[in-house]
Amino acid sequence: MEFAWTEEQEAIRNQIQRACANFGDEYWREHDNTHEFPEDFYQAMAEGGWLGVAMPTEYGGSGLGIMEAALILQEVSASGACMSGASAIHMNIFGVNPLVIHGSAEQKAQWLPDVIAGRSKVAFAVTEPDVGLDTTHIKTRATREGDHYRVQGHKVWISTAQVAHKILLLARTTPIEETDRPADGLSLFFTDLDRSAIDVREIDKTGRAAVDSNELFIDDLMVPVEHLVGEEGRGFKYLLDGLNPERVLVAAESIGMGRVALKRATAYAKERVVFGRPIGQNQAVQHPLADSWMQLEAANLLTFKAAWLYDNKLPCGAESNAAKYLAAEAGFQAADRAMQTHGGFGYSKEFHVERYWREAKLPRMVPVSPELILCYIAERVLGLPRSY
Amino acid sequence: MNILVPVKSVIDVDLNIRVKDGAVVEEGMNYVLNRWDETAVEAALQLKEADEGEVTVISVGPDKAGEALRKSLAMGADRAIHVNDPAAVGSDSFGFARILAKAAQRGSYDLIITGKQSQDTDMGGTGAIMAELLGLPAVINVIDVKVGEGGKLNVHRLADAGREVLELTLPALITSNDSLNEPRLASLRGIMAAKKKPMEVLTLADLGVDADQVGAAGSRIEVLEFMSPPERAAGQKFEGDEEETTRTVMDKLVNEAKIFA
Ligand SMILES: Cc1cc2nc3c(=O)[nH]c(=O)nc-3n(C[C@H](O)[C@H](O)[C@H](O)COP(=O)(O)OP(=O)(O)OC[C@H]3O[C@@H](n4cnc5c(N)ncnc54)[C@H](O)[C@@H]3O)c2cc1C
Repeated sequence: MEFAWTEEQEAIRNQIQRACANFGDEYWREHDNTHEFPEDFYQAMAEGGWLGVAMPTEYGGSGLGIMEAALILQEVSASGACMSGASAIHMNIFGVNPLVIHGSAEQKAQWLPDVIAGRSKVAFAVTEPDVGLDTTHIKTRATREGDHYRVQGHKVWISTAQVAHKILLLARTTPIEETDRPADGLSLFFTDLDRSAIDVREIDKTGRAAVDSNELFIDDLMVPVEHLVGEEGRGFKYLLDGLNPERVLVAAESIGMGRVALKRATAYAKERVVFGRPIGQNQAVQHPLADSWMQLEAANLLTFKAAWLYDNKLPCGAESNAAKYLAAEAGFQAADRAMQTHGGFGYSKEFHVERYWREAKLPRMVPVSPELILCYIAERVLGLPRSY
Repeated sequence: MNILVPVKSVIDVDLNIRVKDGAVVEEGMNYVLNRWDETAVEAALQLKEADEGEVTVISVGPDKAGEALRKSLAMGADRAIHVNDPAAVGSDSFGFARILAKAAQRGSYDLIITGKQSQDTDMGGTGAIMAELLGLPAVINVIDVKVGEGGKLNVHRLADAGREVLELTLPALITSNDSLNEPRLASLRGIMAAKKKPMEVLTLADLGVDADQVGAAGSRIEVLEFMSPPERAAGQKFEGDEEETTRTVMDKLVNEAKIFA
């Protein structure tokens, strides 16, 4: 067993930390307040070549693994950028993976270089208002008409759609009643986010305000057949390929948030003097922080084990899901405790921990909820009957 | 223009340094590329980009020196030389300068750029001694450098009383002030490319350096003890009427702290 980072991974971590240091907590606080997309940060990440970390070298990427991608997103998050920073680049770093694996050579040559260089932003449109986590039952329809598909539908929570140029879209191409299983008959498209056919309305939300999430009303979007990714009807299976690595990345991001929260909490606990002593001298203040450190480290081990399994092409479903569950819980708890440590000042935006707290709540709910992860572990690992 | 940049791996002084039994505790320390050397590498890369040629980085030290070299390669340097020889350990500035000068003579460099000092020992001697050994003109504490007319360099240095503007004929050596530029960050592509760039590993014998003249054996300076700086006493706070406070503070500065004495 080898737990040490390679020198190259150390170098990556060191440089990404320095790149993020140019965008401190105040930058993110401001973007949180103005709801403005962190374009300067995004461009800096593109220029440093970070977006292409796990993308194929022939299209300008660096061909590294999910391990390195996780390392980068963790450091981004731990810089105080939290989910706002991570989500701003998440799609470029990994979101287009179905296209990488199942796209044709022409499609990849046409689209990937722009995604890797940061010239094109991509929104990922799966979730729908009436189906939630039950993805196979989505209602958005794509109907073949000659050399096009006509798309009608309604999506919700679609991130970055205010600024995105492209959309990776899941739609039903064969009615569910005509398929053997609900997972069949869904197709994936990579196409232009054509605002004349897609009405994009921003959702006012709790946190991660710098990166928009939206409701999409799709009305007669015409998608050329060349924009179908892989085979018609297999889109849901393609999505499944990307679920585990996505869980790993979200886990790494959560731990990053927990760490920055803990850093602020300990610094404050050393400095803040009440009753003639630093508050951090009290065990009631110390112990929750010490506990959070342990939770974060434990979750981190599982996260990078899952990354290692994925990069070595080994099964990693249980580990990826468990890592996302543990990391999200530990990250949120650390943020919550950091806020508590700050007392009343934790409620002020000036101390940043309340922003971490709002953002750390997010990975507890998405892309999959903790309840469904427990269902998954119960069913797939423990062999209990399927409950959902 | 072919440029040689000596670089050093130093303890990350931003971390807490612990001193035990008169020496710095090295265990658990992080090593980074010396801040001034980073500036020197950046200056070399900018000159190369404005003109052409190659940037070679060199470091004398144990295995960890390799990190400083790879960091420089990741920033964009073309090749590296690692002088890795146990006999070099414990050299003083003169010893290091001797080794570096020998290595410099093996190549044909138009310019050598060193950091003004290193952030661990703050000696600031190596660059100047190296120039002396090589018989090169040297400009110390450079804050601006550009390629000028007829292959000469326009160099600005920070002198005691202001900015000194000089024209420098090559070959020459300059040492960089840390305000010379804003060193670039290594990109991911740079980090990946660094692995494939040539790194020559040499011993003192390869360079024809006599082991007695360098290392602890040849050192003319001996570090007797290393001490942590004394803890600073807590400051005093004065509040109240502006004029009265000013008088009190002035009185304390002049009569207690004796700042004019
Ligand atoms: C900020 C943000 C950004 C997002 N970005 C995107 C995006 O870019 N693209 C995209 O496609 N989607 C995106 N999403 C959507 C996200 O993936 C979904 O919100 C998530 O999948 C959950 O779906 P839902 O909200 O409809 O929850 P529901 O499915 O309605 O679930 C609600 C609750 O019920 C529980 N529950 C449901 N069924 C069961 C069961 N059988 N057993 C136990 N508990 C159950 C769930 O665990 C959950 O707690 C985003 C969401 C947010 C909040």
